[in-house]
Amino acid sequence: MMDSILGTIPLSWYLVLAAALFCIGLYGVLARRNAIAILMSVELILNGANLNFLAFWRYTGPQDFDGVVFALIVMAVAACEAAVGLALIIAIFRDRRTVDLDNIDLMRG
Amino acid sequence: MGVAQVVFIVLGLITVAAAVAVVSLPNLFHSALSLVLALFALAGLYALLGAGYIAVVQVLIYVGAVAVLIILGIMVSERFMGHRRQAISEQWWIGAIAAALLLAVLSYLGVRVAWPVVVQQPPSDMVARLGEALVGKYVLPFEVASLVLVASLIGAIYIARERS
Repeated sequence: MMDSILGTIPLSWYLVLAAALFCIGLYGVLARRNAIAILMSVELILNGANLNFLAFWRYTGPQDFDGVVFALIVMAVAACEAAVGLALIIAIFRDRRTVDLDNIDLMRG
Repeated sequence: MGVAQVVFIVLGLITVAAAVAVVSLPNLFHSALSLVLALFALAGLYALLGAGYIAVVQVLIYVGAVAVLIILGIMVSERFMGHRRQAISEQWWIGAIAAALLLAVLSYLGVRVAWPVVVQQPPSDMVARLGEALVGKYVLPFEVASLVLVASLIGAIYIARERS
């Protein structure tokens, strides 16, 4: 059954889908103004990367676990990123009463 | 067209549509719910790839923890954002052009490069062997990941604490 799955779905389908996820996330990071929306877009980017890791693991060497371990570590880092990001947003919000990034330009030169 | 292809296309379309909704819906709460949908569809794609364990972890960590954390953050801060300004920046088209260009390049590479594909099964006792690999061959990244988790937890508590 798995052989038929490998035979019917080409690797390039997964790569194109992962690229689409990455680019949608990139657009979100560049275009949204709200810090939480940007955090969600970053999650999309990380998931696109994860899909690539798992697709390459499955199609180029499923006997080793490099891709799977990489995906697990990416998930751990994504969890850290969400926690620290939201803590930063809450701290900024407490200070400035806004999470609109156009108004948070304290470090602009 | 085989069953696997149909499943892939359905899950892929759900994922892309939900991802587009995440970056384009003006209401943050709707964006967060679309993110949950996208993460669920991605878990299905991971299972289709034969990484059932990662699919379960995806639902547990992303849907169970990260998405709930984000929704909580929205609920905490949204009460004060009564005046909802424009959600998308005026320069959104620059971002759209950059993303479209990158998508074109990445898709071209993904389709055109002859990847060294091998037709092989993942081992049937994959979860057991993954666990052994995590405390054997990959013990250093595993420990570093736990350290990063602890450090970021302490950091998050410190940053978000109430200053008196």
